[in-house]
Amino acid sequence: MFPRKATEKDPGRSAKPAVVVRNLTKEFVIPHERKTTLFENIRGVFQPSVYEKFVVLNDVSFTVDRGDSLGIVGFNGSGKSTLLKLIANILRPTAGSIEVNGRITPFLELGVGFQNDLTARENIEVYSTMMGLGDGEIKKNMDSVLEFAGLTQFRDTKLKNFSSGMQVRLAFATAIQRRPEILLVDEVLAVGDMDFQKKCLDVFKQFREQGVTMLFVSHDLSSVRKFCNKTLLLRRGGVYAFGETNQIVDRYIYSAKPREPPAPAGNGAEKAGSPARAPAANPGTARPAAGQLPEEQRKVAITALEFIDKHGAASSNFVTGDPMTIRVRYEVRQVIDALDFSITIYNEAGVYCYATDTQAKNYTVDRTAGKRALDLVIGRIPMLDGVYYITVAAAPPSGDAYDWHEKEYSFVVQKETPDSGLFEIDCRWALPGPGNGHGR
Amino acid sequence: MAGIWEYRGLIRKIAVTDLKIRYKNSVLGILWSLLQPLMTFIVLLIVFTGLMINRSIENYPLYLLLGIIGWGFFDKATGFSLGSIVNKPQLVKKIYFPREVLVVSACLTALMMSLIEFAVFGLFMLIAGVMPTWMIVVFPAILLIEFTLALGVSLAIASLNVVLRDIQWIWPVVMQAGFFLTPILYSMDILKGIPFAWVLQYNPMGSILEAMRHVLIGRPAPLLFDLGYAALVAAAMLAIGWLIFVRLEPRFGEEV
Repeated sequence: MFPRKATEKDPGRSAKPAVVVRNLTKEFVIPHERKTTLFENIRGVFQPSVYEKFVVLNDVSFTVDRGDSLGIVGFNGSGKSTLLKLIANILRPTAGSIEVNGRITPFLELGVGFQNDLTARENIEVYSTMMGLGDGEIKKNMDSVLEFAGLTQFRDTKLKNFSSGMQVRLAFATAIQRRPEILLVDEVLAVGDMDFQKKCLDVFKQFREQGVTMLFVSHDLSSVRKFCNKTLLLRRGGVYAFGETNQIVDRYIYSAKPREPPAPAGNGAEKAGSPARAPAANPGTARPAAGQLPEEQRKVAITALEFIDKHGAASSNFVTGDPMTIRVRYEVRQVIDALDFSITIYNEAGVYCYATDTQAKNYTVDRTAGKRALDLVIGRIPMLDGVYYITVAAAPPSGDAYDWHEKEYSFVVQKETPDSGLFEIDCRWALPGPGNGHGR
Repeated sequence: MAGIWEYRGLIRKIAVTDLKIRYKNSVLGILWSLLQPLMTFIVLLIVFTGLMINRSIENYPLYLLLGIIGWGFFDKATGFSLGSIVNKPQLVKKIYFPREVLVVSACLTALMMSLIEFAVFGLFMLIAGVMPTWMIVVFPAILLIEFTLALGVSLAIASLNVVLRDIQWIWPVVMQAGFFLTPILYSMDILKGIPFAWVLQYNPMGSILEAMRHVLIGRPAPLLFDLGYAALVAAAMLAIGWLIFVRLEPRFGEEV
């Protein structure tokens, strides 16, 4: 949480963009056998080490103007956190440059440098000093920080006696006491309870209104949409798309098929500002790459997957609680004894959410030769906000699959309730009484 | 290095906090920082007075104690610094500030502890009836030279330790050897005639201890020469240490 020195003597507040990233490349060298001891190094002289270069960011360029809130989204491993660490000056670029005009406050982790053996007050002092506050300012803010964290009566309690929630509150209250110029946030909101998350969002909103520049790494597309006016979509370490949030989220995330675009090795194709690949026009009909056998040898081939909404139209956007039908189109090319289909649903984080198959539901699939279709009818969508990926497979009851498409298809669910979490639970609040509890 | 001045508030805070935490869960607390050198002193005093090595040294107890405390500062400063980067991965990976801050703070923690020890040494002087002279004004300068030397060595070993973790095991051995190769228990006179012992007079810690003993307990020594030589070595060491540190610093975020 340190003022990173502006690259210019006078930051020129009004004119210069807050962050300018030019042709940024970051490689990590990953030795197969890491040499950290002297002995290993001496041995290594005779036995040159084998290592791999792993390009995390490749020729990334973009500009963040003063007062912008930029959402940085992308799959796991697309280089989002590395990018923030480079901007925060914790890591150094392999090539390219980063120009920062203003004081950076990184929220890469809350409570950095917190010590268990110190009291709340002492920890606030240390943490505030790390953020560059002077002694006078710290003393002046002490009461309001404790109050915001709701820990006034615990001022002299040692940190180790605090619950993790209390620690996070203390850390956040300390971190936000001074308005930052450029704020870097790395999924800090993923911690803490609902109340705390809301409090964080309120503070960030306030910062945004005050013109604080924010860079915001998140998996949560709905908060990016609510919160960021610009979005940077990273894929395979390159800028896949950059621009107005709504445009990026709609065009590239909600409608693009989730597969990584096949990129040539060491690709530099994905340049800033020029989304190299047009997304597939219709997510449900994208033709996947071969599963196991060459296309023509497959006895059964899955030809398409469609998501059908309550109006009977193919769509990729759904609302929690609505019905949905997943239609699998396939072609039976040779006579087969038995055929089952399975569908597996994953969320954005790759978490396995649900799987079902025709065998489990005692459904007999039409396996007569020709072009066929099969529906999985979902009465109501239980998931709340998020992007979901589908794996579909066609297989005999035992043995290798005829065909499968791994996470080839995706749809987006948006909620219309204030509830949050992974899925909706059918529930209500009530007074205790006869007829309410399930037990006695 | 000049930019470090901006971070003096943080340096002080980390140094004071480390001092607090170091003795947090022990009953005697910070008293341990005093008891440790005193106990070493008593053991060595008994052993070496018994061995009669030091008949020639006037005020041997004070001579010995000042040697232990003076050396102790260098030993602690480098010892604390050794782990100052690798033991704080949380800070190094999640937040930016010049990493030198951590090393300077570690040396400062050692300095604070040693200052208390030097104050206690003052008491011992009074008890022994040795009154300080006006020469005592030179003492802070000697301490500054020692601080510079320790900081130079610390910058080198703290950053090397990030890429070569062996340093943390080698360094205590180096310090142990240093303890015996520096005139702490003995004076340089007794080494006369021993082959290659002349090398030891180039030990800057020897010059620093000699200067301290000169200004505090009046032991004859070529003060200006000692100070000049020690200052020169300290400045050179600081430059070398800092170069090594700056060279390795970009890797800290990845290797810690």
